[in-house]
Amino acid sequence: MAWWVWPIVLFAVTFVLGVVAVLGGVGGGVLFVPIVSGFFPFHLDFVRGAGLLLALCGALAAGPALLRSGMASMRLSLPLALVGSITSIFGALLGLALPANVVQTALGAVILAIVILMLRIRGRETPETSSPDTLSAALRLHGVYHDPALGRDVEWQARNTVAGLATFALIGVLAGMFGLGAGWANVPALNLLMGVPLKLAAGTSSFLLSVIDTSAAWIYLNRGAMLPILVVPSCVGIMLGARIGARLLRVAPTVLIRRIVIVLLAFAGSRALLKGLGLWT
Amino acid sequence: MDLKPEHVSEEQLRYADWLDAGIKIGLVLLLATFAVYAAGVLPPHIPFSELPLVWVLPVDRYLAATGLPSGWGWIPLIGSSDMLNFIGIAFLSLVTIGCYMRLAVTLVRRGDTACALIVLAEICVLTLAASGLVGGSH
Repeated sequence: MAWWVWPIVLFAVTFVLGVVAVLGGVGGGVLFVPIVSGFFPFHLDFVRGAGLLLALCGALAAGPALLRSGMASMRLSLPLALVGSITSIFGALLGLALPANVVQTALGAVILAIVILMLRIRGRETPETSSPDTLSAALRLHGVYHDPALGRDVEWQARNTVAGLATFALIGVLAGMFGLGAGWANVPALNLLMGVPLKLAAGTSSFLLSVIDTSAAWIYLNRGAMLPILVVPSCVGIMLGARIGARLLRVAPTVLIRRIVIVLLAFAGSRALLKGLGLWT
Repeated sequence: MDLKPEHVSEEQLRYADWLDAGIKIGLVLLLATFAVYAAGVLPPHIPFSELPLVWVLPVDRYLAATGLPSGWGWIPLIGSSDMLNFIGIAFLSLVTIGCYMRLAVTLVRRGDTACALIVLAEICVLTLAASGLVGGSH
């Protein structure tokens, strides 16, 4: 196939992924990396670099509105982002050091684990406010946000801060190693483990990505694992798709689309696993 | 979204303003430099026809095959249209560091020591990653 076909196909595919990702409630990176590494000719090193950059662009673009509306808490993000950004560097270095088939196999396993996570875990809209742990109290990880859907202010208080930090350390490794945005892990960690209300967890997750993915993206960029012909059409495609997806959110059958996302992930994860094991090349 | 600024701290609002400006400038740079690349205004370092031969390679072999430098070595090559794209990519990757620097100033002035220390540590981590000193370049 002629070289110029690939960026056009990439743009079209990432545009659709952007729409589907928003409607399915996942980040674009988690769909992009397994699908593009499984079905496009680019080496996995470049796909992961592009995956990080497009997750970063999406998080940066969403950041201002989330921060201004109070649907993301910067104060809560600061310690978690610090831990995640340190470990994402190690994840990126590990991912670039391991053979591609090992990373591809592990990527397939992680994507299939995400499918199970999406099928089994249900978030809690507003967890009960509990007494803070020592670290949470010291860092004043609490606040109030206004939920327009509930029509009232919601108080929140982070708990299990040490366990939360440990979880974000692991999330950072996975984000850096596989080039995934890691919103799929941020939201349950913030909501179920740290007791942050679901909507605030989703907004804060986006802000966290903008920091955690920055450090890992620099490792890929400095190593030379960024191809403009792959990165730019993908970033533009997914961001335009996300904008359309956000507009369709009110009318689209989101439950059906979430099921489609799960099927897509299961297929792409299986493809990555089998490709890594040399069973489907 | 119903705005409730009374629940949003001043530093969070300022961070949002800086982030907003940063992402807009970054996207303009990304699109403008890619337009130059795609339109063939300047010659690329890697000819388009050779791209399919090298994008299938792992990054180390890709660098060896193309003679491209790693780290910040692309800067002297921005006369090539493909390397020009790294201006936008690098700018977008620097936006968070710039916002954190602004945030650090606000927190230090307010005497919020714990958060200021976390923010300063984050600036060190991100700067180290961006510098290429941590395993990024060869």
